[in-house]
Amino acid sequence: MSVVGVHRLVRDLERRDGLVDRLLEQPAAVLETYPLSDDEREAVLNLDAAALVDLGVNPLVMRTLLVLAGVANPDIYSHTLSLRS
Amino acid sequence: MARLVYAGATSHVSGILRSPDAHPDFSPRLHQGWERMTADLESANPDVVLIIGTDHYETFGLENYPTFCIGAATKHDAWNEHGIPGNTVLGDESVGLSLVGSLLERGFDVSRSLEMPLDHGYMVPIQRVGLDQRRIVPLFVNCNTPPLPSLERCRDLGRALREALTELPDDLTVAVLATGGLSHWVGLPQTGEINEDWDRRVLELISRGDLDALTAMTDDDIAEQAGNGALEIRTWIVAAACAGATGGEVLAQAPMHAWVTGIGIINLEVAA
Repeated sequence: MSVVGVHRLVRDLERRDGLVDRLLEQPAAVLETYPLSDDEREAVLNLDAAALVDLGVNPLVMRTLLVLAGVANPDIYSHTLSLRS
Repeated sequence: MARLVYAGATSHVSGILRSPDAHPDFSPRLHQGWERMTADLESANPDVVLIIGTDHYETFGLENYPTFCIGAATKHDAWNEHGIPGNTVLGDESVGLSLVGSLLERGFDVSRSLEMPLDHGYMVPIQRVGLDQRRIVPLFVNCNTPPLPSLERCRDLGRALREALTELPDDLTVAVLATGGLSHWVGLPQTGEINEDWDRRVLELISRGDLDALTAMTDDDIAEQAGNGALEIRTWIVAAACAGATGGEVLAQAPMHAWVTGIGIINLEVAA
């Protein structure tokens, strides 16, 4: 199940020095190294909370991803940030 | 036969350590509750503290995700996720493995982890109620990754634990502390909401030892009324059943919006 790939990405972002910065600078290159489905890759690139949860990513993990990407906790479902920008 | 010398339950949100004085009225009330719990634990002076908690995708991932797991190790490192403070604590490999064996004999096929670092669900209470120099045996309960163990199953695990404690060495004293809850929504649009009525009702039921009413709740109702984080009350049910479910004393309760969590702290009676 590829949702494991999203969870692994988030765990690595928490623990690997510099990986958050690399994700913000070169998201496509970082995501390429994880076994994500097309929908999951799009949802991560868009920092789309609702889409990630709909795809089966646990809300706890989704929240960690978005917070690490710079989204404030209260803004997770209303922000306009994206890894593409 | 070991003796259960203390039982209790508390919320575990990281704000307890990170912003302890977040509310001018509620914070002092809560810290008074934790100080009381700290004093009671100190007075009970347990050799081992069995902490019944969950994990927030720090120790366990979807590659391997247990339903129940006991940490049996000589020490437990802290993940320090998101900068949450905490240092390595002592464990008790022998007690952990003994409990695994005793629970297996009673129909609970718990997993064991011989290397089980701990996240804030354990480390926050450990630090807040003065357990950082004691031997810790963590018992993980899946509270956030469906399918979850039923509330009845958690009650039965607590009852089995109560029996399992009898098979530990004679002179051992054990404390049981559950961590989690109360109402809070994590990573959901309702994040920040707190259902204080629900929190009070759960505390009342626990303080009356009414596990029948608690286990009659459905996870759908809990999640709708009190959030996905409130599903962590299954750890409280395990601890209450382990203590004998004769009642308890609420030490403090408050809707801590600054911590996005309803907080509850309770001492559980230890039945003879």
